Amino acid sequence: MITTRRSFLRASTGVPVFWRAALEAAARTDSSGTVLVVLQLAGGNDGLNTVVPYEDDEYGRHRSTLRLTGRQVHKIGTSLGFHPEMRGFARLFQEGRMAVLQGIGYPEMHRDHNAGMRNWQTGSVLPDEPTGWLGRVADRAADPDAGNVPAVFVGSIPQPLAIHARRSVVPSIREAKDWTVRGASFETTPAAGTDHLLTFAALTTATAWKNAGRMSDVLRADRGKSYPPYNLAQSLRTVAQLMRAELGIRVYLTEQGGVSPGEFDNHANQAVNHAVSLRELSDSVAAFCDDLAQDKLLDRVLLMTYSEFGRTLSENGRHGTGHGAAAPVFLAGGKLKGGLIGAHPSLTDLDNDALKPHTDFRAVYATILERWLGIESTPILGRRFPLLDITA
Amino acid sequence: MAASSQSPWARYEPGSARPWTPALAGHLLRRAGFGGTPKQLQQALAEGPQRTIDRLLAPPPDLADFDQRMAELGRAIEISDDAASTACAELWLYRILQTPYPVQERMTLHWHNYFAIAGARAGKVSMMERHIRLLRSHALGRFDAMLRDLSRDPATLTALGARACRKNRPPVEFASALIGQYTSGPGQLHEREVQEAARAFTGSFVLRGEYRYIPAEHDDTIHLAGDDVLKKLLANPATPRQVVRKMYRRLISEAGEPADGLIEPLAQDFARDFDIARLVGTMLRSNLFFSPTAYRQRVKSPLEYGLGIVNGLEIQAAPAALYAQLAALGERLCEPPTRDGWPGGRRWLNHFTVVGRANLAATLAGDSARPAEAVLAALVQNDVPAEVAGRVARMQNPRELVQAIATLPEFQLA
Repeated sequence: MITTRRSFLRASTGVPVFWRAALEAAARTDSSGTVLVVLQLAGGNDGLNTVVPYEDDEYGRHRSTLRLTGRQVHKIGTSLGFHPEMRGFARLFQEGRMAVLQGIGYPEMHRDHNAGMRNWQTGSVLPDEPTGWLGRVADRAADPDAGNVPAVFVGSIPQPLAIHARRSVVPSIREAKDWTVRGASFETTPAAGTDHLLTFAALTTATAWKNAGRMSDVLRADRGKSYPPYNLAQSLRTVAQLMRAELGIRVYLTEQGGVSPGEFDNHANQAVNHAVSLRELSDSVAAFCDDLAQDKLLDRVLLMTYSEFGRTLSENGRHGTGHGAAAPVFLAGGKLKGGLIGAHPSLTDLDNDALKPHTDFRAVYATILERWLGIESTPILGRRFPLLDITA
Repeated sequence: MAASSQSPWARYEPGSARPWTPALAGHLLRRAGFGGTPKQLQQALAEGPQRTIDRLLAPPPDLADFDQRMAELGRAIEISDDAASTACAELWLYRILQTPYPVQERMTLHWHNYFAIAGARAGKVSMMERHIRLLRSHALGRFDAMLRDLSRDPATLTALGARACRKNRPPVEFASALIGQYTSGPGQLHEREVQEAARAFTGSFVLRGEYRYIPAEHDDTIHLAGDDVLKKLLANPATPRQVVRKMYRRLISEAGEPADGLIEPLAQDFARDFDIARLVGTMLRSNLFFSPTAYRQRVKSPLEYGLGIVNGLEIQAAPAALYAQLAALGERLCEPPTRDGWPGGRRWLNHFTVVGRANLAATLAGDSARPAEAVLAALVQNDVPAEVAGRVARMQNPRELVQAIATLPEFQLA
């Protein structure tokens, strides 16, 4: 799927026109490739007030002030509904562009922010893994001879561990302008010499200038587009811009909630704070999908959310909730099997006041790697996981 | 070491076949330091290669004063307990920018990459700062002494999961790094050896940021101390070979793996007393170093790239800003990505970092007003195709001129 210039280099006869043609081909061959957008929600999102089991008596009983009723939520399925602020998610769900994977987690989930987040980021439950699962994708998809960039982080916090790579330099992008050249790019014709390192530097530079040029074109054309004024929406807009510039990026990581512990960590006065966070999440993802749907780019995109854990069923004395376990993972995109996937975890069979997961988060990762990105999952995750049925 | 004057490791003497040129002087100043200023280039050109190397390798007379000033600065800067602090990296960058003894910092960086202790895992930032000082103190000293001190270094032990090596909890990760990475190499990493070495290091502790040996926690069924393991590993010929190979990548070329025959004589010489300065000196003085096998056969790291511009144009750079700029290009000082260190080589250049380098060059160039001839001489010693030099010479905007030269493929290489 990922083409390299290596074969071309071997066959090269050194005719500059031919180099240029091959360069353009190499830079553009992935325009039909699939793209994964991973969205980190820091703090431990309360799945129970995001996809609300409003008919379950246990829910109402344990959430005296935080409970949401059937009249308030956006109903999906027969007994579940999205939080009232999640109109965007509800619409995407109706359009078949959203799937809710329920009961995701892993055995004996960590209830500590750092350890919990670490597991989701590394795709491992072993401590001290220095790379993230997306970083390992970057390492496998990067061809050091081609200089391609398979994965980027879009956001303004330090690069999350999820995208730390062993061998690749993974860019952190605040805005698409970071990928344009200030001043003028000075173009030289790569000479076909015998100095391979110099040829490599010349070819990588030439392709980089072409990519940066397309990025500038996209930014000019993209002016005036409307995205809601949230940080997440701006990050997702940047993702859309980078996609349109056809830079060959397969994996984008972005985030809402900031650095640990993160804005989703609502131990007190959850109702208002959570509503604000969910509105940002829902409106931003909806705007992103609508933008991409306009020129059929949405069919190439799968967006996935994760948070380090869900929250306790019981509300605490401060109108908040504690660190829990299982929670839903949201998928959005143009080519997925929309709907509810997997049963809602039981509200009576609990683990220390938290929902028990029935599906391993690494099965979600494995499915996305294999079915969406077309990348073998075992080398990334260390072992095989059963695949889920999520793509249309 | 017997070597004919033609052999790769024999001393390079300029001659008609390979004269001493600005390009080779620039090459030497890049590899032994972080690139030269125009004045340093002139001086090297006038002195010739061997005298220049003598001077670069000898501690300069003002080093003690400089160390004194840096120590005071180190105390003044609050080295906090926050592992996420960048104070240690910024202090180091300041030193790199100001040092009268660049080869020492160059080698400190080399060992930082070799041992690849990451601040995020080393606990307190003050421990990391001490770790870097330890590497510096041995950077051109003796490898065996460095290894011994590292086996008692709080940052190293903490980062390798060895801060509490109880009798029943031998430090396996530390032992496997020691054997597979620091000494004999991954080919010699056997389970039994690792277990044995780990047991030998039981009794090592890091308490309140200090190394402590607690005899009662040492597993004495093994009759082996940590130092005995180090001695054994140093006696293994694979150890000097690995050190020399990694030094070859640093000083000579990343373009290909050197033949065993090239490494062996240096490895045998190194094994006599593990004198790093002599190894570095042999490499820098050699025919091979000044040959096409080495010239521009490494990709500059972001630091080498940025410092090349800073020194070439004699710019004042602020360490904190530079730290962030280099981190964005993939080189977060004091935080190697994994225990393998920075992969380096072609990995430094990708379709994003090329753009990032161009923008860094524009930022650093600021309001530089040097003419094209001066910038071409300072940054690439005019060793670029005549057509390119001609186009650059016609450029009007001084900042764009610097950016153009700094983005040439030739300037990406060290």
